[in-house]
Amino acid sequence: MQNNLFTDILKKIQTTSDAEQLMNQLDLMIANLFKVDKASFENAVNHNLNYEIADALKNALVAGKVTYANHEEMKAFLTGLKEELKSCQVMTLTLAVKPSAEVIMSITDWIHANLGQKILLEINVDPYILGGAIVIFNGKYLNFSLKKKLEDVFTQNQDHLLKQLA
Amino acid sequence: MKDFKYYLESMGEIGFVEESVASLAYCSGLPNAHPQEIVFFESGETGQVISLDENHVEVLVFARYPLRVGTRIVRTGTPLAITAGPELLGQVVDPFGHPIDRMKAHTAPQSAQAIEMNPIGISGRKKITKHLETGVTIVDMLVPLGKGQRELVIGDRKTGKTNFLLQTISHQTKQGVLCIYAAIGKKKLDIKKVEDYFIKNGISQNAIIIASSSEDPTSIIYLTPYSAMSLAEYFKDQGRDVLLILDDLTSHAKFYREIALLGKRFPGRNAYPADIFYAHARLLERAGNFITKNGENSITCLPVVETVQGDITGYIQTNLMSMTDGHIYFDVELFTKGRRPAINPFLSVTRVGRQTQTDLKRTISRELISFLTLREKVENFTHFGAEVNLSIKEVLATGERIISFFNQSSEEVIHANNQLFLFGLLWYGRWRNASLAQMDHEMKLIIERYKSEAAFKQQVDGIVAQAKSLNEMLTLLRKSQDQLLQPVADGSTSANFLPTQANGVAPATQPVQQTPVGQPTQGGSQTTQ
Repeated sequence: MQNNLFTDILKKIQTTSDAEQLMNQLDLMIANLFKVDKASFENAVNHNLNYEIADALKNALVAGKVTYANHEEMKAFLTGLKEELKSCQVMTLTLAVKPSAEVIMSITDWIHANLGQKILLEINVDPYILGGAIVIFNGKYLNFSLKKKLEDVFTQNQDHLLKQLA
Repeated sequence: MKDFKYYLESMGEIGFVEESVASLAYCSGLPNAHPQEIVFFESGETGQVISLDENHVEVLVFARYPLRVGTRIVRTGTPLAITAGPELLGQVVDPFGHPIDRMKAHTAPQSAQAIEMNPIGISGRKKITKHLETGVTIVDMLVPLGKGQRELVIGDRKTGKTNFLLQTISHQTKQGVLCIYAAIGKKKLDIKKVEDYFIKNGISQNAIIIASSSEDPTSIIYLTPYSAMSLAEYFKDQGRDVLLILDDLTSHAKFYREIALLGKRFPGRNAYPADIFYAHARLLERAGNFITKNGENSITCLPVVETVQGDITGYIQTNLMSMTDGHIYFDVELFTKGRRPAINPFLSVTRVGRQTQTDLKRTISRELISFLTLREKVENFTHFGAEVNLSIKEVLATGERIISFFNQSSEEVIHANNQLFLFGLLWYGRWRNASLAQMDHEMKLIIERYKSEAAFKQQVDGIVAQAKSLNEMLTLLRKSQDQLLQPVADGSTSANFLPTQANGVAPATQPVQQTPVGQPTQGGSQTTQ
């Protein structure tokens, strides 16, 4: 049941930085449970989290019938969410330019649709790859960069190119 | 070896160091990694996959310092190998075949030999039939070794084990055998001493030292004996007989224990991992006498193991005793009594060496063991202060001469035929009335003469080759001694055997005894088994 509760939240978590932010917040909440009530909780999530994630979190609490006053229930819910986040796989994506939020969203949508929900994106920017992307996932390394393509072309046609230049 | 980027692109797999403990790293990723495969870290270090579980790859890292968490790692798809080739002769190399002294000119060999190999099966092996001379009299006569034998050298520290091994290497290299000395976690000074010994004796061109010093990472020390064995296998396949010294396996076991405990393996007896027997047995099983494309070639392995206060019942010690074809025991008590080498023939065992001996050698060996046992009994008896008769006095005196005959300096190497010749003279009673100092002096002169005078050597070799039994040899000595060792008029023993004498033969100073001294009442007959 708990896992289903977290599905909506996980859908909103796209990148490892989102996950880290949420994890930090969850740690803080778990540490300060003794003074948590509905108002202070909502205030904290609204101020520190992306509004979509904050909404999903609040909805999950309602759906799970978790009462703010019951600290044990709250702790179980928050710890469960933390564990779910920890168990997510990470896909590292190296791009030549910093992607916009829309690009990230479209990539994560594709990943969630094709590879599963519990995958987080870690985005690195490396202008030296010129274009395309390098994907690292599940120990696999796939180099779809423009730099690699060009290198391959130069390697394969080296003799021809040298003749042209001579 | 290519660089990190090459393997990353070609293998298409990547991993990350998640945890690093001394020489071990636990990495995520690398979905198709397999045990024994080499992996490459982006920081330039290499490692070997030693185990796999659902989430992690356990890697033995060949780096001096622990790796940083998050370091990227790639597969290479190749097993761990040592560069091998004749270029390594005379070199001191690490377990990967790279020279330790990087300032020296070095040509890297082109071929490589996998470090982990399965031992050759029974069909690829042959019975051990060739004798391996060590040049150390007590070993060649009482604990003989065969080519392809695995003989443990066991004893307390500083009892002369390494000296004995160096003598053996010195003698064997001169006979064309290739010698590999594996120094496992030794002090750099000790490694240097061995190297200097090789250079001083002019044997370095037929020997290789594979060394890991105590400063090296545990993983590299652990690898040393396996690399040395791989190198031995390479040269064996090239048609050479190889003598491999593993100095020493107690250190190796300790370093392996360290790795196993860090890897959270369940500790067994004395905290050693459960597979310590397997680790050593699979190594020593790779030695033997093999059928190769070049005929018959052997890897004779002399692993060394250290005891503490003469206790040979330790875990590693008994393990190794059970997986070798015998052991040579260096007794600390004999060492303190001044015996050199301090080998205890009663506690030493050879399981296959005797089958390589000629009838003459076997007879002499039996006769000697029987006599030394008798001497031991008599000596114990005389401790009670009993009055001894003439026969017992004779046994004790001869015993003393035999012990003196076995005493040999660490610099001295004696050819097997010369050993038999000297023993024949001693047994015959040549030095019955001479002092021990006189006997030693004459023996040294004979040894020198044998080395330097070809005609004398030929005659001695002829006598040994002609004799089929001890009695026959004694008879031959009786007949030819006048010709070989002429008596001098003044009866002095000094310089009688000097090779510089004009006629090339040396005088005997004592009247020849008709009765072999070891068997005063039996006329030299062979009665013991």
